[in-house]
Amino acid sequence: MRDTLRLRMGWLHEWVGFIGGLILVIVFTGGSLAMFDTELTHWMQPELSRYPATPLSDEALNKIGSIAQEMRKEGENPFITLPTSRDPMLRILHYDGHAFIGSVYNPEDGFPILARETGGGQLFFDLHHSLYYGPFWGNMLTEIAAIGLLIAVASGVIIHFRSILSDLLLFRPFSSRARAWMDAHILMGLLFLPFMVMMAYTGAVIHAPRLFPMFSTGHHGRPAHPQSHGPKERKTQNNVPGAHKSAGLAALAPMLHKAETVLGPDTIGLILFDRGSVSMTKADSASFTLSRDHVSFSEKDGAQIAVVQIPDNLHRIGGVLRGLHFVRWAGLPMRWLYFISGIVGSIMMSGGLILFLMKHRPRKARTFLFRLAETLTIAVTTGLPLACLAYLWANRLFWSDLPNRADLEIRAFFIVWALSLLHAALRSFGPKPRRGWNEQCSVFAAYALALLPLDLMTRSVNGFLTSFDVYKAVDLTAVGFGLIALFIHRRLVAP
Amino acid sequence: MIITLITMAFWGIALFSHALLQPKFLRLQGFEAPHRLPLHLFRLVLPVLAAFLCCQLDFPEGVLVWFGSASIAGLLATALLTVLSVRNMKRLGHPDKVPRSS
Repeated sequence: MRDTLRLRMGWLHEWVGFIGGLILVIVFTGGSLAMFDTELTHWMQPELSRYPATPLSDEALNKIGSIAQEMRKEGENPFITLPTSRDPMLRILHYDGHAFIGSVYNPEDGFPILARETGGGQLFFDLHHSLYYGPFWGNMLTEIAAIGLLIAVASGVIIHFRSILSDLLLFRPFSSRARAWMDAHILMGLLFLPFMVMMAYTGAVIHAPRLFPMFSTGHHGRPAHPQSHGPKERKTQNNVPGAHKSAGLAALAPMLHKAETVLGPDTIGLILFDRGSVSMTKADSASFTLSRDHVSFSEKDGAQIAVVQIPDNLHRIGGVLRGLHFVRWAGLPMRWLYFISGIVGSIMMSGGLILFLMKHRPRKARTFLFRLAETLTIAVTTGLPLACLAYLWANRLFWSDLPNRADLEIRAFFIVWALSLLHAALRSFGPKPRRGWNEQCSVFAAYALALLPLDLMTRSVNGFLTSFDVYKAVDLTAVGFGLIALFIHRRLVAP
Repeated sequence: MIITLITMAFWGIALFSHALLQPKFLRLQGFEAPHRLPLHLFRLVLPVLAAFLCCQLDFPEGVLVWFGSASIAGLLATALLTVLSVRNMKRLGHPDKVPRSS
């Protein structure tokens, strides 16, 4: 009876794990990188390395308030992000359908900084929650994959239930390849089980309204709101009578100070504009519960209109789940903990995909479906990291004043990913599929190890050996991954 | 940060002790059967001490650090055990013959 259950769970784990795993590797890799999205955006704007962090001045805030107002008059839908420890710059951003992009200003005097246009680390966030195919189908797929992960975890626990405790730290690299991969897969799955269950559960619940739109209050679970950020909606909003027709905007600095007295000092992170009002919104990093509490002011005279805080316990639970999943409240050690856990999760799932191929290779190696499965596996396990690296390289190699360069960077990402898929297909459908893994690993290693020299050559470097900043952190992390890829490459070429 | 590191060290020792209590690991490592009482004590007490330390942090952060440091300490303990077992295998000059599930 028990063995029959294990056998059935094995089948479920194998197939749900493989099909879901193809998506989940993308989701986990994207999510891990999105943990440092702000830092990656900073790395991708090397012009900012010349500007040390300075405190925000009232003059600067009022100045960019006027700039934002001018942009609104021209039909754009901007908002302002205030400096934080992670991003010490003032920014006026707008949503382009995938990322929040815009211009950068010095928080000391409000003068614009000529930083290159880039989607930055937000590409990975988009990839994580919607596979860059939002807001509906991509999100739906990741939702289903998250549920698939919960099923795969539950079935995996049932399969290995008898030996979970006794084999908890078992890893035998000297054993056969299949057993070594199986050990690694089980080891990472068990050690990071709490993290994976938590992420899958919170991720699925946060966006549950997408799966059950009949219970939501508006489009895709969000209340219908006139201030949508998509380009199409923006045009519609301009036709709304009374929208953006006010002559001027009251100074923002007094509103900020007043909002800080209500919500607490240094808690305001966003300034959003609505019809006739300005919202001083709590930063996501200000508290564990992601609540978006805000104080609204009249944009004409700066008078306080309303204080909006989490209304009830149900919304508070939603805020807790978001806080656990997005972890924007956390400091650097916690973010690294999430990053490492996410990367290990990605490796664990990649290991599962490889085990699936190992199991079916002896009998089905020549079939079309097997070769397709191997192609897709190579494309997500080695092709995706290669595309992420290409994104960073493209950012530094494209001219900084190139028109639409943010789009071009993203195109470079997808072109390299498509090329890796093509390469994987050529190798998988050819006589030596193992070469596909090996070649992509070696290309990744070469470009990852060369990222540090590229960084040093494409920005002004001061005090290279005396300070540790976000640039070096990104470079050295890439070098670390490059060394791992080099190690895998050496193992693959070994007889 | 210090609490996280100490928690990780506690978890690492606890998990290492847990592994040394398993006959399969002893065979792989080529160790003699150790005194079981201190290993049992480490395995049971250190995670509780780690939890106590994590309680010094704010509520959600402490829970996340406790679980997260267990995961990473587990990886480090596994790395150490693997190095020891690979050495033992090389010394014996034969591959692993131990079945996965006993």
